Amino acid sequence: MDISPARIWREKPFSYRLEVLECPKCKRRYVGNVEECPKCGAKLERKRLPRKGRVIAWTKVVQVPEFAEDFAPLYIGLIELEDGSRVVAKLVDVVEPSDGMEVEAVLRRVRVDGQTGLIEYALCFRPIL
Amino acid sequence: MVYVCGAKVYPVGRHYDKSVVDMALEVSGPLVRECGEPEAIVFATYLSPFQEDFDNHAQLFAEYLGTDAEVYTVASGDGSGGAAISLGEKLVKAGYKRVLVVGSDKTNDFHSKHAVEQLTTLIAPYERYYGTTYSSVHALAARLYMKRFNLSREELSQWAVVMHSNAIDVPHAQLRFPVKIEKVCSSNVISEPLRLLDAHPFSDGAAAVMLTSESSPVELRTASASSKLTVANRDLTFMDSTYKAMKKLGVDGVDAVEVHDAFSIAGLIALESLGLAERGKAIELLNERPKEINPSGGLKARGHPIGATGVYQVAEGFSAITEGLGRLGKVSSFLTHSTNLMGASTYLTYLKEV
Ligand SMILES: [Zn+2]
Repeated sequence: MDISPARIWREKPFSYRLEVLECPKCKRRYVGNVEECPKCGAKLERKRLPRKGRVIAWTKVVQVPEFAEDFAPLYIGLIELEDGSRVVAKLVDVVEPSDGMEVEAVLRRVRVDGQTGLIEYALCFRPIL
Repeated sequence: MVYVCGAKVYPVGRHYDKSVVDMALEVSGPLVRECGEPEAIVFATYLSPFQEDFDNHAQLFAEYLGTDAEVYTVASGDGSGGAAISLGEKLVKAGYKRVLVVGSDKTNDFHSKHAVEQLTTLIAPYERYYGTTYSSVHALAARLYMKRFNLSREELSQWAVVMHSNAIDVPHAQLRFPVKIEKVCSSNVISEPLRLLDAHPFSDGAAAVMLTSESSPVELRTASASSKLTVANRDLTFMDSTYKAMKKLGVDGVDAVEVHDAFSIAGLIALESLGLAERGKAIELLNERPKEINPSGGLKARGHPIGATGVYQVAEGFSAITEGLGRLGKVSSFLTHSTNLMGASTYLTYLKEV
């Protein structure tokens, strides 16, 4: 499937900076680009999540999508960030992850479009040494 | 009885900064706060899976809307919006108090040649593999219609002229500027005899309509029918499914109509298939009642966010009845016509002031 330059561009706040939208009133969070909280109508605020956290659970993905064959096997982790929020992300620079492992965000190439050569980057997490 | 509680539309255009879910939320959040929580959500989209490399929009939308309503995605090609309204009506009839119908779609995330290719997925496999496009199906219809009813290139161009003129006073329309017949006739050819200004623009957008069983100022009724998808097996100068759906609807005479004019020729054929004009005479109706035919500017000028278009039409009908729409002003009845590939299926919605 083709990588959409428009999609990569609009997803950058989260995929590059862990930026989410938060409602100052009802505290709901959204990843995307909406002006008002869909639930209560308050103007949403941009907020950056902490770049450090720890691994809650992880898996080694052996059967990978075709586009990720060059990266196989993949380590996908559920990570709890320092403020308690959670993200799912790729674990990198790791031989064997472990539960509770301290990790930090680092920008990495996650996908290359075979046709156009367009490269998609996103924050991944690596062990804090 | 099924009523429309409220409707919201997102400006039709190019929205690189908005995802399909973002746009759907922008229109639905305020609508839910105005009308109340829905018991079910019917989400219409068609091209977004190709555009966004994601195909579970309705579910993410429901999560962000913060609802526990039942969620369904409806797709019926470029008639997905009309199909969603039709199913929404049936859910209310089945006993649901409120059903949110939302259409959201994109065509502009890639260069338009991608959307042209993605739209070929509407066409039956054995007719498609040569590079047959959405426009070329309409072009074949135009060839047959123009020959059979002796319609000139200049006459066909009148469709775009009227649509652009109607769209000028519609704030959410995509092409709000006038065009002259000469300009239409000399615009770039996309598939002979159709030219750029015969065609819908590439559009992103979202519209939402809340259907309810609770009495409200606008009543809604739908009727739908299908015919043939295979282009070779149809009379391309007529939409059989539209004719059949109109028979089922059993309405004669409406104040205004929104027809599915993806290309100019489809607008003329739609009017005739609805029985609003005699065959070969739609151009006369267009010239007599220009403000009542596609008062939004139609797919041609309001724009055509593929799977969302049918929901826009109903939202526009609701506006026309409650507050007035563009040059048409206020009316008391309104018909919308949404089709899958130029009449393979037709979804009609009739709106009436209570
Ligand atoms: Zn809120």
